[in-house]
Amino acid sequence: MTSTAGAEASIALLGQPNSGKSTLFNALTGARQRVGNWPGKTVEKKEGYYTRAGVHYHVADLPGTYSLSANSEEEIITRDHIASGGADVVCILADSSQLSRSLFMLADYAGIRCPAVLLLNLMDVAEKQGKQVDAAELEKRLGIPVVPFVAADLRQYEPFHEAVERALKQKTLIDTGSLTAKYRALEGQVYEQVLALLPAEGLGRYSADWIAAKLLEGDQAVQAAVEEQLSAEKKHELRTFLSQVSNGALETAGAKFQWVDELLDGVLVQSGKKAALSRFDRLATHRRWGKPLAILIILLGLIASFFPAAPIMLAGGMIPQLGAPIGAALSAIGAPQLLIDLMSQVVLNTLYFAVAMIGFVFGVNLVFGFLEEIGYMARVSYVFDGTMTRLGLQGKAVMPLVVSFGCTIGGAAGTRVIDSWAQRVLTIALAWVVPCAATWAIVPVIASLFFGAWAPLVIVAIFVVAGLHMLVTAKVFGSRLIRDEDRAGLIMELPPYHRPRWGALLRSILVRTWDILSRALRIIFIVSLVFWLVTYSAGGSPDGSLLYRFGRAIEPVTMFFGLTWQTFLAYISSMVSKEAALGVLGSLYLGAGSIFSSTLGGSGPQMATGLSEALLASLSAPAALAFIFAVTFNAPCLMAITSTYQETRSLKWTLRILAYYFATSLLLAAIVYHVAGLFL
Amino acid sequence: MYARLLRLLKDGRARLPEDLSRELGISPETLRAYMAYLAERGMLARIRWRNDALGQGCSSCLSCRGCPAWEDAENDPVLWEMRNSTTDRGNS
Ligand SMILES: Nc1nc2c(ncn2[C@@H]2O[C@H](COP(=O)(O)OP(=O)(O)OP(=O)(O)O)[C@@H](O)[C@H]2O)c(=O)[nH]1
Repeated sequence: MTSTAGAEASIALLGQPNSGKSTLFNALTGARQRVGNWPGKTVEKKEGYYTRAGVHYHVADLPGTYSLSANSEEEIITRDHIASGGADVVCILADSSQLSRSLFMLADYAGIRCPAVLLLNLMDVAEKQGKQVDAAELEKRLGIPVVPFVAADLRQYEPFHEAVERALKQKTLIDTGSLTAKYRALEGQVYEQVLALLPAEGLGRYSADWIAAKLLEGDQAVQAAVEEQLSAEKKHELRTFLSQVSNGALETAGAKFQWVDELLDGVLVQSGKKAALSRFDRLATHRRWGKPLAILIILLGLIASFFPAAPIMLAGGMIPQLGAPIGAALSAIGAPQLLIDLMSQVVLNTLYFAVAMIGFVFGVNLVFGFLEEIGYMARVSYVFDGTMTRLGLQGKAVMPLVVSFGCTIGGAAGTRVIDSWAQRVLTIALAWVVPCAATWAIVPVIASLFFGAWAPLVIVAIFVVAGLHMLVTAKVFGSRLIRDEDRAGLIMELPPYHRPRWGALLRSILVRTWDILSRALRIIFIVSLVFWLVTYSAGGSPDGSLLYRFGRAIEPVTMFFGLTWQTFLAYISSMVSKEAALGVLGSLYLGAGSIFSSTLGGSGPQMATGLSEALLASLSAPAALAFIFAVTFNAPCLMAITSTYQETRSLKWTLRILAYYFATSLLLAAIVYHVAGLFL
Repeated sequence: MYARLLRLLKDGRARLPEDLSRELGISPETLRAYMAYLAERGMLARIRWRNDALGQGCSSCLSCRGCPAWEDAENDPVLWEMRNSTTDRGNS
């Protein structure tokens, strides 16, 4: 086969899947094509021909493969076809919209001594992406014709035909100088050592350079072919050497990608990046400033959620006032006293808490939902990754911890992506520190009640303490759990920032708010009811009830931690569920007050406004603060404890973590109580 | 480049592709291409962790509806984790 006029020439189309080979093949050959199988193979063979300027061109559409290794039948067919002289020129198609990936085939081809043309196909798609390719410069660097191309556009075929003719005439081969330089730079000089064992002239169309790379990759077929040419001694030497090479394929692939990178440097230009956003992102992901920025944004977000919450909370304060009219109406229709008391003390009490928290639940969800939606929370995970490492955790642990802001159970389940059991236990132990959505629902209610406009400061304090808590907890558990394990490397790809889809965001926030609220309503109602019944059935005086006597008995001890017996019981119940604490608190304080006032012959209005006043009257500010910290840093809830057991499969470690949190939350309460007592 | 990549990632710190590409002296696009190559060969595992971890549901919780932990996974970072290998040569 020659390329002289009147004669014939063979073209082979080579490229990765979807690079447009079939499109080009069909455009060239039209109806003049034949589909069969490659000899002895099940792989489809498409052949055809076209004539141009008196030359009869045979075209073979080679199977789409990612490389020319011997990984699959298709790859072997492809390179055998080229090596056996089946083509006079090989047209290598690359997808211009992803050149870095696509040119890997070119790199794998480089070193095969058969003239080639590079077609930068799908140029239209690349241009739409804002990519521009300097084909002339690339041609200079490669030494073969390079054609910007749109296979689907028949009007653009002239440069293609010219390039094929040029390649045939000039026998253009890829200049492999800079590629072999990359191979030579491989660690341990493996490339040069293999090369030294090979026949310098290569093997047929395969140059020695190409063969050396393939041998490093562990290519059995090439090795067998080469060994046929070697003496027994050299063969042994080659085998021994190759058996010592590790990660050869990954290393040579790395060299090929580096070569492609060098080829494209200055050749491929991408325009239209969003500058302002990327400047913000540099700050958001900055080693030093990213973290303070994240803390600031989250804190400001939490504080900002007080604004919509405050008026709603105030409105919630009116609810207990409804007790009087409702009580009057009920007694007017002759309802039993039990029902009237149940209404005014349990139902309204529950409603009050629910309404008081609704604004904040909505606010917090809005803030976090928004940050998540625009893609910022992913940055938060990234900037805290280093902290994870310092805590002895894997980078992957950051996501379960972020999720724990929503729900500790989710955080515990999220550790499933961590392979090491010890790492999982430690991550779960730390996830318990992170205040969950329920905490953010109840803490602000109490904080606002006691500290008014200063309530946001309580949130800041919780944040600071949570940070310190994590450090200590990681030390306590880490020293027992984590041995110096092999650290797995992690690459974190961040989602691009995008505009929030407000509709979807609001819908999910409303569903979530409703879910948290309805759960809180149910729990507070049930807990209130149970506690109310326990004290109510004791008859007129609360002092007589077993619970009250028990409470009085333990109070001298609990007060050391700044907890009255009522807040202590509420704290204990928060281990079952955070919301339950509000129910217990409400029924114990309001229940006592109202029963007390009713035994004294008090009337409706007094007991109606009772709850917040009863709380304010019975708890000092340091005691309220102690309660807030005790509940916040207590075990998250019963379900989280169960979840911890299920995820760790260790009762011992679950109980250890539980005991640790019980002890540390009480200790924290004691510290907060006594320190706050000095100032408040 | 593979050995260098392993060494860089050995410190356990998560890296952004942009940072890593700078450290390796290649463009982010080339790094992505190399990452895809490594992933195809099982040397790099892609973790869409919320789907991978929570896709099966949370052990003691039965309802994902309104769950405050469940967000749209498309806003999550994608984590790529190196899988340790000693050799990939078939003839070793
Ligand atoms: N916009 C555009 N689309 C193209 C171009 N070339 C091919 N396509 C389209 O890209 C898709 C893949 O093209 P094919 O020709 O089937 O690719 P292939 O290399 O034969 O793929 P395999 O058969 O998998 O090896 C098809 O939908 C083509 O229509 C081009 O230059 N521009």
